[in-house]
Amino acid sequence: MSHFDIDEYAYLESPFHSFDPRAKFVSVLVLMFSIVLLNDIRILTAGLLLAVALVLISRIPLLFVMGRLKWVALFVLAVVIVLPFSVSGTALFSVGALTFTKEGFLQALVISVKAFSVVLLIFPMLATMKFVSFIKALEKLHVPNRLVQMITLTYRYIFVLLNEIQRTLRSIESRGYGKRTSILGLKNLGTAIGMLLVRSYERGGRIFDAMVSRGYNGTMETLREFRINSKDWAKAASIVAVAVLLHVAAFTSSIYLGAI
Amino acid sequence: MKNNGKPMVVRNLSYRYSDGTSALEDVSFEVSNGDSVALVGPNGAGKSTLLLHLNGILSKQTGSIEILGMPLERKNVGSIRKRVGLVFQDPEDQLFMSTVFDDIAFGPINMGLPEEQVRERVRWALTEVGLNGYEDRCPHHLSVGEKKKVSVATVLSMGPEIILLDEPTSNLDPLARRRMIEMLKGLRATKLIASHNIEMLLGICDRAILLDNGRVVADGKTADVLTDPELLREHGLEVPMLVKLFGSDALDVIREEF
Repeated sequence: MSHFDIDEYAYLESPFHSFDPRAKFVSVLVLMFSIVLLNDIRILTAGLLLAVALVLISRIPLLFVMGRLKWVALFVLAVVIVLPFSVSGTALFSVGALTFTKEGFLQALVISVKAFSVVLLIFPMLATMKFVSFIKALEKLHVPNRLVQMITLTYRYIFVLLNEIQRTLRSIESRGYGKRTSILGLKNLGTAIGMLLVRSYERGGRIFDAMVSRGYNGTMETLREFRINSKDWAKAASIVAVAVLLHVAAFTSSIYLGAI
Repeated sequence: MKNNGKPMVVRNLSYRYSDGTSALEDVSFEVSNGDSVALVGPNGAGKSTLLLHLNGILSKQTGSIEILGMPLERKNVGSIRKRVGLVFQDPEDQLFMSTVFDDIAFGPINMGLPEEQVRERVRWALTEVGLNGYEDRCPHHLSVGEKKKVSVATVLSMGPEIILLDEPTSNLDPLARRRMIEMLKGLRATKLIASHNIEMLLGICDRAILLDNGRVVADGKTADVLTDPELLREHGLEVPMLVKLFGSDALDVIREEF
């Protein structure tokens, strides 16, 4: 079974791939927050271009990036369609009873640009390392251990569960209930999901037994020291500096050019 | 010592599941140091339930269990688990970490060993199962045979004196099964192996305990218990074809084969 691997391109070489996972995670996260907190569409556009540039630097194939972006586009599309008609303000044109406003359009634009920038930044941040390294980075950054355990186990078992539900569906289909769109099909899907729940619950019990029998006492620890060097510090510092600069730019432009 | 130095002494152990089904009924047996004991019986005989008792995952309801001279009680369960390794039937349950290294290191880390020793043990356990260089692999990308071997390694790294194995060769192709058997033969610990693979058990175990309906119905030399067609048939099992054809002469062949 083929499945979605966020770390499919973790083996490539780029400044992001060689970046220490902890420093990379923290600095790019700062940049993401910085972009989300901006409201000036001019600065946001710069942020979006920056995000695109970082994706290019990370050498993650654009086709792979586009493939993931289309899901984001689906969500953003809903906002872009609804907002211009629902926010009141200067009317640009009307379609029947609906009025397309300048304010609404700008808001939609701001939200889309933020969404795309942040999602684009996920690629240089997460797709440039093995997912395991990301989990370890969280562990070493002292993210609460319960959360780290949850991510570890989710990542380990999501594929097992996907396989399980696929097997259940296949076995239902192979006994002749092929149409997924019918009421019967939905019932079968319900059965499959129910089975998955029961099986997962039981598997959870067995995994817990396996953990306890190897001395599990509530925390999950791993070894692996990351070595952070001066290059990592420099990269992290530059990204954080850019994040700060975006806000300095937004602040000055609001003073000299006026807010939009 | 009151247990005569036996690493495993089980007396009158009974266990009922919460729905009232009896899983174990008055089970008693002893295992001597370094023994390889086969645990056989039809599906649902209580083999897995028994194994889960022997490192304290299930707690006894009646009877007594003594492991390595310690009665299996709450206060001892931690030190018993360090010395009794349990390999689960489904490697997907056994391997829960995201890399082979982390999984094998899980036990030793929990034992509080210093980092260098943990690394050394992981290296050693991987060598024992013949999977050097697999450290950074993800369990979900391994073959079933590899997963089974890593499962054994996750327990070996804790340096157990007793290893309990639940169906170590199920779902393996013939070559992987052979390799697994060779590996099991090489392990020095006291072993209790639950399996339906009678031929393998004849090859690597000296003694066999036959369970049915939660009761011990036979306990003796593998050469006696596992070659008795009547006895095995009565309890849902079957003697290997070689034994059917050649009687006890087949045993030498099987031992040589495995």
